[in-house]
Amino acid sequence: MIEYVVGKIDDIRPGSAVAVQAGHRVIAVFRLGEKFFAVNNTCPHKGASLCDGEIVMEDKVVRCPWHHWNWRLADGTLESDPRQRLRTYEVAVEGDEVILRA
Amino acid sequence: MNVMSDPRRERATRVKPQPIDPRGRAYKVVDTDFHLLPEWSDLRKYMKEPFRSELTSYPLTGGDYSPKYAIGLEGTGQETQGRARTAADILRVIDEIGVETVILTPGFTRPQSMFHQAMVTATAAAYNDFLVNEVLPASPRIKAEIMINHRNPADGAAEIRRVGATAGFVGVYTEFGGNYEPIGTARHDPIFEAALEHDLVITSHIGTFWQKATPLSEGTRTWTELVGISASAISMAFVGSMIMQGLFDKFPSLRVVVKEGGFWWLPDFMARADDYYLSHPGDIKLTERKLQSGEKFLAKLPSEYFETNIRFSSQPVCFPREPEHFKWLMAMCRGEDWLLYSSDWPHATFDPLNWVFNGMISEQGRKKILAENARAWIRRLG
Repeated sequence: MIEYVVGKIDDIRPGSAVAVQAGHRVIAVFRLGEKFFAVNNTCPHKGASLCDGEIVMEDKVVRCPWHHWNWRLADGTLESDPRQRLRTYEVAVEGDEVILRA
Repeated sequence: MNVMSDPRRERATRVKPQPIDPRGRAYKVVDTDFHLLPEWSDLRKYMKEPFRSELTSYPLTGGDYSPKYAIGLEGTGQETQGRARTAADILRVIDEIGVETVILTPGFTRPQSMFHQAMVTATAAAYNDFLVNEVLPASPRIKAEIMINHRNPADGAAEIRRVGATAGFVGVYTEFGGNYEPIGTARHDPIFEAALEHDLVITSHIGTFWQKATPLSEGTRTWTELVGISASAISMAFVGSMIMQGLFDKFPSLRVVVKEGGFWWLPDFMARADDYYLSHPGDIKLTERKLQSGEKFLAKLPSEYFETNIRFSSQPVCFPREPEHFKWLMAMCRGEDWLLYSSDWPHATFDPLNWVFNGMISEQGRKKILAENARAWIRRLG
C-alpha cells in the first residue's frame, strides 16, 4: 500500500470530488462535509467517470452521471443491488492534508 | 510528515478522466441514433401558417402521468447528457463522444403521437426545413432522418418526396409505441414506396407509450416496465407486422433499422415465428398485400427476413449477469453483422462506444458494429 497526498483539505470543497492517479488506478476522492471517501472512479456499468457524478448528500451516494446508478460512498455498494460493489479506499486527514491509502 | 522523507508516500496527480474509450476514434464511428432538440423559436420560423402565428411553444403531446418522474434529477431523462440545439452543438458533442458521422433522429420535438394530424404534418415539415437550411449544410459529418406524419401515409409519403432528394437525409423516421398501429400494415405502403424512390432506410424508433390512454399505459407504473420491457415487446410486434404481412415480399429491397427496441429477443422471435408460421400459414393469404398479389405464403421463413431487410441500433446494450452469456447472445443475434452502433445521446439511456472493447467482440466485429454495418446498410450515408 502506498499513501498518496491528495492535497490540502481546502482544495476539495465540501460536496465535491476530485480524481487522482494512484499507480495504475484512477480513484475518486469525495468530500461530504468534513468527511472524505474514496472509490474507484470508473462506474462498472458502462465506464462513466464517477468524480463527475452528483453527490447526493442526504443519502451519501454518488450518482453516476450517465445512467444514475447510485453508489454508496461509505462502503462502495450499489443502492439498488448491494451485491455490486466498488472498491473503496481509506482516506485520512493529517494536519491540513488529505491522505489516500491505496 | 514530509512527503519527500517518507518512501511510502507520494503526491497524487489530479486527473480529469475521459470516460469515452479513445480507441474508438480510429474506427470512424457512425452513430445511428443521436437526438437534436432545436429551440422552438428556431423551428417556429419554418412552421407554415396559420400554425406559426398561433403556436407559442412546441406542440407536444399532453398527459402529465409519466414514469419519467423516476429516472432523473431533471425528471425527464431527455437531456441527461446535455442538449444539442444547433449544428455547432452537434459537432462539439460528437467530437466528445468519439463519433465521426452522426445520424440525427428527432428529439422531443417528435410530434407523431399527437391526435391533431394536420399539426403533426406541419411540425414534421418545419423540422425537416430547419435541418435542410440550418443543420445539414454545416458539415458532411451530420446526416439525418426525415420526420414524417407516419400515421397519415399520404402526408408522410408527400413529405418524403418533398425533401427526400436533399443530400444529408439518409432515412425516414417512424416510431413504434403502445398507441400506434404497427407500421407493417399495408396502409403504410405509400411511405415505403416513397422511401424506396429515394433509397432511404425506414427507421422504427421507440416512441410514445404513456401519453394516451391504452391498457398498456394504464397498467404500468415504472420506467423499467414501460421503456425497458415494453419497448422490446412492442418493437417485436412491429417487426412481426412487417414480416408476417408481407411487407418485404412486396418491397424486397426495403431496409429497416429498429432503434432502441432491444435485440436480445431475436432468438426467441425467430424460432417462435418460424414454428407458428409453419404450423398455421393459412392466414397469410388473407393479409392485404397477399390478397392483392394472390400469393398464399411468405417468400421465405420469417426468420430469414432479418438478413435481407432488418438491422438494429445497438443502444441500449444490456449485459447478462454471466459475462460469458454476452458472447452467446452476440452469436445467436448475429450481433457483429446486424448491430449498428448508436449512442442515443443525450438521453438517460446514453450508450458510449466503450462496450465494444469489452474483450468479447472481435476486431472485425468492432469495425462492423461501429461503422461498416451502418455504411453498408444505409446506402445514402455514402
